[in-house]
Amino acid sequence: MAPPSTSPTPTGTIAGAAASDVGASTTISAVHPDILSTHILTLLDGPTLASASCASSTLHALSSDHRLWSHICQSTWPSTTTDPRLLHLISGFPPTGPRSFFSSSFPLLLSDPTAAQNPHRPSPPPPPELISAVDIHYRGNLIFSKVQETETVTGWFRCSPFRVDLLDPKDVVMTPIQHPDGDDTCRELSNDLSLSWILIDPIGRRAVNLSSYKPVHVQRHWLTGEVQVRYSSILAVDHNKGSSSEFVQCGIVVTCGGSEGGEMQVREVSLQAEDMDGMHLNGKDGLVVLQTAFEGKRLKRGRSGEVGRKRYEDFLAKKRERRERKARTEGRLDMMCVAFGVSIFAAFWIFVLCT
Amino acid sequence: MSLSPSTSKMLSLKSSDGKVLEVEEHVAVLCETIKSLVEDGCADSPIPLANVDGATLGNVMEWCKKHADQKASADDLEDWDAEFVERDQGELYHLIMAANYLNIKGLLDLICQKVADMIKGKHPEKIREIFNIENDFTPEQQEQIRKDNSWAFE
Repeated sequence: MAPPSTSPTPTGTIAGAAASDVGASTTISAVHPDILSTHILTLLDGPTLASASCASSTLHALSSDHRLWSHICQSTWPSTTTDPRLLHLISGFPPTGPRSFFSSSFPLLLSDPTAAQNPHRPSPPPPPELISAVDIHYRGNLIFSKVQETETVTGWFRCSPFRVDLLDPKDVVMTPIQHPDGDDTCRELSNDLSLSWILIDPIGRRAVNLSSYKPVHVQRHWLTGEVQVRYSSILAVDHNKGSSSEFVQCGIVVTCGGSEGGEMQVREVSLQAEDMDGMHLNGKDGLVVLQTAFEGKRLKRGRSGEVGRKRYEDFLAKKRERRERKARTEGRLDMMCVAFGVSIFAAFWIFVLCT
Repeated sequence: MSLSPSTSKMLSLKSSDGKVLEVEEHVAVLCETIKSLVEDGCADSPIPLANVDGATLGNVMEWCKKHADQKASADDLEDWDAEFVERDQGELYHLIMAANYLNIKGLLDLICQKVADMIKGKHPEKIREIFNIENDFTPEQQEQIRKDNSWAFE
């Protein structure tokens, strides 16, 4: 059934239309655009709003409102509201403000070195500082939220292992959650805890989410009962830069312990980058990897976090394979050395005995 | 009307298509628009509601009646509301316009939430189908917009 008109109907004429064909006009254009944008679009989450904007030109115009998107950014990542500088950065994020920030920072990152080389735009220089905006939710309730700045120009940063720590060793953050006391509760935790780690380049005005959203691995220490929850994203490395490793894992580790009252407390939240040999990248190499990550492709983020987990497992499998291959090569080299030694030894004695 | 056996005073509401509905005052005042008319003393003659048709007005008053009932528990109301919104989209859209015109926040929020839930997590094609709207983009616009938003559904 074709709608009588796709253009928005002003409120005044609705009554006449409604009186003549109740139930017949079933198109959303029966609802005044003002009501649509103030009462319905405000209830949508980011992906649905983006999807709605592809449906028609009216919806596209209505859903391009800055306020809608900055509200969505603020409710998705409460950490971004705590820092005035970050708020300013998001509202002016290129090209379309908060909406662009959301579409850079919400989806899963799919780092692909071929996609990274964007011919239209040369990659901006490495950022002199990075801002991390981190939020952890438990069943939709915020339990941890922090913004941290990291400078990236000093020798100290460039030469030591790339690592961002959000908590000082002495600090803990209390949560209302009961600390898991067994493996079953630990497994539940992996479904209920979601983490977002947005890394922002404030100068180049780029952002990327380095988290897998859901944990890729949860482990409970058998003695201390500390629980280590790992999130990760696997980044591809550009071969031209002369690195031997093809993939790098950006691992986010959240360490939680039980308090005296039995509640869980967050003791450590940190980010590190590790190559396929299990070596930690230093700050300089870490920045190179992040440069490609900023340009990487974005993927739809599933609710269950399976994509992130799959990529993590693939990474571990590749790492294992690499280690085995290395061990085989070394084994072969050892054999050759031994054989060479034995033959020299034999040749020497034959020489001695024969003369 | 003063002879009505009911303890509450009755109000007459006249819809855009000329239907007159008799409603108890304590029910009708859930509509802020009618409440202010009552407070100003302008509610004696049938109140003309030019923007609401008879069928929609009936639905609105059904909701108001349930929500004016002091005995209904919160859980009860929630279940009743969930059933109330199960109706075809044309009716939902008219209810939104009526709730907005009559200024009933509770009803407006309820129906808008229902409409938002209908499209939550859906692809653009599906949203078009649900809202019964046409794709009015040019092919170039369409391609660009899809490319910009592909992260949301691909």
